[in-house]
Amino acid sequence: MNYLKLVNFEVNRFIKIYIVLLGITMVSQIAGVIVKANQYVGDVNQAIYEELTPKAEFLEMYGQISMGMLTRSMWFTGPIALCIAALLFYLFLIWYRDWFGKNTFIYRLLMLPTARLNLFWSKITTIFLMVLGLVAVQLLLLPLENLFLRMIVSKDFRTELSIIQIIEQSGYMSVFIPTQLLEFFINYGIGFMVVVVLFTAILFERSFRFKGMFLGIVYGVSCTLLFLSPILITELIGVGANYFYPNELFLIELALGLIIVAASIYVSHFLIKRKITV
Amino acid sequence: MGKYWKLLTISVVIVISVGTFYITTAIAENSYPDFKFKLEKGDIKDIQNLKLVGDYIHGMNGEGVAITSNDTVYSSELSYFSQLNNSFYTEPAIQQLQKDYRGFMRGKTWHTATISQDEEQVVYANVKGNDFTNKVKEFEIELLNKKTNNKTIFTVDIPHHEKYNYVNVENVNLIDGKVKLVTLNYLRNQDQTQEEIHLFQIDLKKQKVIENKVIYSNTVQKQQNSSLYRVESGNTTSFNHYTVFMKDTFKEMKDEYGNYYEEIGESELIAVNMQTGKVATLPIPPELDLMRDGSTFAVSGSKLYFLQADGKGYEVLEYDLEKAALNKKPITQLPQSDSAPVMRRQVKAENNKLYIVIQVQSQKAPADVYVIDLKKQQTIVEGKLVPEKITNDAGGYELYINDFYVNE
Repeated sequence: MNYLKLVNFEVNRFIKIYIVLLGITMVSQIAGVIVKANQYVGDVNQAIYEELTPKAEFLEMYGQISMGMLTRSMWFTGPIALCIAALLFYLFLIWYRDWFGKNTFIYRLLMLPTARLNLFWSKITTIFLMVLGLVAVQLLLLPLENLFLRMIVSKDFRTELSIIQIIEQSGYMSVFIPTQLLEFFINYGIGFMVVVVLFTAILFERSFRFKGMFLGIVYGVSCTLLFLSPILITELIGVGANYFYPNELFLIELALGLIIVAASIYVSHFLIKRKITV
Repeated sequence: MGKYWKLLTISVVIVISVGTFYITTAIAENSYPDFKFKLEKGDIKDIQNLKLVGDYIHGMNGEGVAITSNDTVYSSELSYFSQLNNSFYTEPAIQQLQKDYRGFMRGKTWHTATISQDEEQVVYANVKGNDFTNKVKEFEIELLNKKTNNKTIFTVDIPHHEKYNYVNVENVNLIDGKVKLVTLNYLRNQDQTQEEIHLFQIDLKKQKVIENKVIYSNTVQKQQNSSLYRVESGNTTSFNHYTVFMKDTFKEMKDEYGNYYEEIGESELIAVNMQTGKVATLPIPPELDLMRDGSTFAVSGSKLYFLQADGKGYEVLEYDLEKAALNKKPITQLPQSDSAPVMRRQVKAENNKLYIVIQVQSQKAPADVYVIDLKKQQTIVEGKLVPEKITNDAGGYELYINDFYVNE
């Protein structure tokens, strides 16, 4: 139960900023659809009723409007980039606020009668809940936005797209919402690995301060090199990057990823239990 | 429980939203059509080994597609591992070799130009390269004895390699214990000669280049440009005795506003006999209308085949590469397809049969398929590719056939 309590605590600490992020995303995207769609309808009306352009000619020149197109506008990319930046920043803040907060909160946290690694787990869980929460809201927003577009623009002037097609056409959304479930696990698995390694590096710094920062960077670089080693080594010895068959490479990377995660958790466990300083 | 409500809400939203998305994605049927071959003549068995690969475009959406007589597979229907293996565009002959000789094929290019095989052995030859520096220095030659599984691996220096920017292996063959290599060498110093076609002979016992013959130098005059490329890939790994190149010459012209543009001038075929090293250059009669891409021609034995529009449809013409002469009488005649504009035509030869795929601009039947028996000189299959369910959406669809494979 202690782990859950800690997660709940961490979530509650971030929830205000999080709700603001969600709010900005929802308002900006829906407003974007409405504004862009109305603009388009305005263009249509002007061209067809005032300039008397034939419909076919207009469509040939400007094309139909589609959700895929809208997702590439600033109304969508702006808030998404903001959320990504905020969460990247919070990856550091989630640790450092405990030390630099009003009353060195970490002191109390470390004194809790529970395994100290739970602290580590609760923070990582929180980050993941926040990321997936944003993805979930995006998945709920897309059909809603589709509906708005349908209400504003008549059928002849828009391309009807399914959610998957919108994701594919946006270009960038398929990174955090891949259309295949296996890819979802691969992408978020890599994300998990990166966060675990980063947290370990932060714990290095918190344990040995300035020296630790150096250790943390070395640790991060070594993990990166280890993860990329199949490609680096085959290139270096000159057998070519396609020396491994794709499915072999996949299994090797999977094993390396698991090793990196396990090692990071082991090191973090050691650091947080024995070396951390307040 | 009350104090956990925020955590709980977030978790529930995630599970429901993401869960629903992946469940609906998994059970959603692809709305794209299945394509079938509708034969007007012949037996479906004769095209069972045919696989068309291309892109299906619907509005702004597109997807890779592979069509055989059994099924139509879209790229989104492939498993993650098949996508990793790029299974649409990996030539079937290469896929089979990778399955049978996994160790031998490790790290080799996935292209039939650098690999040949007969019943007893597989031979591979390529420029030993480093992907970063792209230095041209030596050939790597590898031989696999299929029965004993013995491998012979060695490298030989490319003669005068410092002269070349880039060397591309176009065809590999094994004749009388010698590896024969046809390469296209791009010169570093492109004053007049831009490219050279070389024929290398490499002795397996001595592991040495015993012959390096410049078969053709592509020289251009001022205000001219040219391109030289192999025209019959065939995607086959069987030993073929001819490698055929096409050379197109472009003239640099100036229009009335002083803008430069290029006009296609003469073209000629360069057929290299890999056994004898003899070269036949065949000027292309100007009345021939050719679509220029990698599979305009097909070679079977010592004959080169291609299509020629004749108003009523197509004539299948034959070039005798040994005699360097065009056979005046067409092998056979293909009827005109519907009058839909032709987008692309591709020809491949395999097992004394000629496979022809003509892509046309039609939604009802986007391609015509023919198989010609070269021995009997007659058409054995005549058919059309038709979608099973035609989507009535505005805009319709387009099917681009980028390539096709005939399983050996």
